[in-house]
Amino acid sequence: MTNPRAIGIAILGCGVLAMALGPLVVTADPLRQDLARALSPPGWPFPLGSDALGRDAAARLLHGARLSLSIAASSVLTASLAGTLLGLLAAAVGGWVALAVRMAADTALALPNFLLVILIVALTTPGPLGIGMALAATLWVEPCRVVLLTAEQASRSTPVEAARLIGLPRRTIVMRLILPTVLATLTGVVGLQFGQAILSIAALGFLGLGLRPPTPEWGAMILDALPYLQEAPLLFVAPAACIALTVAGLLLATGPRA
Amino acid sequence: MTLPVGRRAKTTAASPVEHRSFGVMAGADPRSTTCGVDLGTVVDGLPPLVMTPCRASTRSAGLAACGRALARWLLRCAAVLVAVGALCFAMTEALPGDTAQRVAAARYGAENLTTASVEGIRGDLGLDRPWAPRFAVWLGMLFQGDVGVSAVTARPVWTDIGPPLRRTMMLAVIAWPASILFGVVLGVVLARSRAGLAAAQLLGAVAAGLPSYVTGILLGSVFAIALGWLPVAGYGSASHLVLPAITLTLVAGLRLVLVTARAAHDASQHPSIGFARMKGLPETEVAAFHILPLAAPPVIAYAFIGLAFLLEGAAVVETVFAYPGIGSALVDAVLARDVPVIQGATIAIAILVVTANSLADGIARFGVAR
Repeated sequence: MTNPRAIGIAILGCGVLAMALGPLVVTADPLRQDLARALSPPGWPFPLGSDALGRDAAARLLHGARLSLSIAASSVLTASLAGTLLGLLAAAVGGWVALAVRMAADTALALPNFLLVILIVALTTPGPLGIGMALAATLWVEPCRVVLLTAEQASRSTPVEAARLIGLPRRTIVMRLILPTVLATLTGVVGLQFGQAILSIAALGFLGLGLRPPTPEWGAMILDALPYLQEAPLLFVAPAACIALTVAGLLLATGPRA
Repeated sequence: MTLPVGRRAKTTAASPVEHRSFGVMAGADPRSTTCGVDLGTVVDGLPPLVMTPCRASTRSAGLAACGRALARWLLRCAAVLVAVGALCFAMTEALPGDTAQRVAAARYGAENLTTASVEGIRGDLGLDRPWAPRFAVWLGMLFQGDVGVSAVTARPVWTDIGPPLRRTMMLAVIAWPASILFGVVLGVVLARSRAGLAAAQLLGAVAAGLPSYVTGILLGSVFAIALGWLPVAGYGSASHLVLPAITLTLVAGLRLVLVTARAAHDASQHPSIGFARMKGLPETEVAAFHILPLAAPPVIAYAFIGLAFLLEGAAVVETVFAYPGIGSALVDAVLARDVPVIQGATIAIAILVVTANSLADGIARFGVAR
C-alpha cells in the first residue's frame, strides 16, 4: 500500500461518502443555537460536539464542506475553462495573440496569488461571489500557461508531423492528437488548483476576510475554536483535518504515479 | 542574440563530455519557454522537475542571460506596481463617501474640516477630474515610490510599515536557512529507498494540505500551552520569535523534502554514484559529496520558491502568533479599509516575493554547471 495515488483516491472516496451519507445522519440546522448546551462533548444529539454558541459542529462541518467545495469547484472550472481556451487560442493563432496572452499570464503570475486574492476580496463585497471571482482571477493563469506550452510542444511532435504529412485535416489533428495530450496534462494542474482554492477559502475565513459569520466555513470554524482549544479540541481538529485531508487527497489522487 | 557558430563549435570540441545545464539554449528566442521550466509559478504543490537539458552556454551568453533575468525581474516588479496600483485605485473609488473629505479628515483631523479645505484638496488632488487622468497621476506617484499617508494613523505609509517589514525579515532570516537545512537533510535521507520516496510524496501532500495556521496552532498548543516553554503570542523577546520561526521553517521545509528526495533519487541513478560506491566510500560521503551536488539545481531553485512561499505565508502565520510583522499589518489594513497601507504592504511583500521567484527562475534557467 505504498501507491500514493491509491491513497489519494481512498481519501477522496471517504470524503465523497461522508458528504453523501452525512445529511442522512446529521439533520440539524448548522445555524441553530442552543446556548444551554454550548461546548458539549461528542455524543447525542451532537455527534462531534457543539461549539461555543451551542451549534452542531458536525452539521457546520458538512455545510462548510458543501460551501467550500462548490465555491472552489465553480471558480476552478470557470478559470480552467477560460485559461484553456485562451491557451488554445494563443497556440492556434500564434503571433501577437500568443504574445499578448503570455504577457497577461506573466503579469498575473508576478503578483503572489494569495495577495491578489486578499486585494480582490477587499475590493468586492464579501460573499461567495466575490471570493469565487477573486479565486478565478488567480487560477486561470496556470492552466493557460500549461495548455499553451503543451499545445505548442504537441504540435511539433512526431505523430502530429506525420498526420500533417499524410494530409489529415487540421480539425482532426487538433481534436484527436493535440487536445488529448493537453487534457491529460491539465488533470494534474486542476487537482492542484482545486486544493489551492480550498486552502485560500479557508485562509480567508481564518483571517476574518472571508465569508461573514454565522456562515459555516472551515477556516472560520478554526478561528472560532481557538479560545476553547483545551475544553473542546475537536472543534479545532475536525475542520483542520477536513482541510488537510481534502487537499492532500486531491494532490495524491491527481499527482504523478509513484 | 545569436552566437558565432565557430565559437560554439570550439566550445563543444574542447569538452568531449557533454555539459548539461538547465538554461535557455544560447541563441534561442528569449520569449520561448519550451526550454527550461518557469519554477516561479509553482509555489504550491508538486514542482515540475522535468527540465530540458540544453548545451552549456559560453560566458558571453551567460552574461546575456543575466541581463535577460534582470530585465524579467524589472518587468515583473513593474507589473506588480501596475496591478496593485490599479486594484487599490479601484478600491478608493469603491469606498463609500467623498474621497476629498476623507483625505482632508486624515490630513487636518476630523474636527477641523471646513468646506474650503475639502474643496482645496479636491482641486489639489484633481479629484474633480475624470478617473483616467487621476489613475495616471496615481500610478506616476506609485512609480516614484510615493504610496501616500495612512488613513488610520495619518503618518506616511513607509514610516508605518518599516518596522513590521524589519520584523518579518528577521523571521525570514531565521526560518529560511533552517527550512533549507531541514528539507535537504530529510530529503536526501528519504531518497535512499523506494519506501522513503513514497513517504516523501505523502509528506509533501500533507505539507501542502496542512494550512500554516493549523501547524502554528498545533505547535503553540504543545510548546506554549501544554508545556509552557514558550510565550503563546506577541512580540518583545527572542522567545517570541521561536514559534513563528519554527512554523515557517516547517511550512517551507516540508515542501523542499519532496523536491530534494526526487532530485536526489534521480541523481543517484547517475553512473558516477555507482562508481563512488564501488570505490568503497561511506554512504554519508556519497550522499553529501556525490549525490547532493548532482541534485543541486532544482533544490536551489526550489529553496528560493520556499523563500517566496515563506514571505507570502507570513500574513497568516503572523496573525496566528499576533506577531507584528508586515503580514499582520496587511490583514489589519484590509480589515480597517486603510487603502494606502494595503497598497504599501502589498507592494512591499510582492516585491520581495517577486525577487525570490526571479532568483529561483534564474537559477532554474541558468543552472549550475556540473
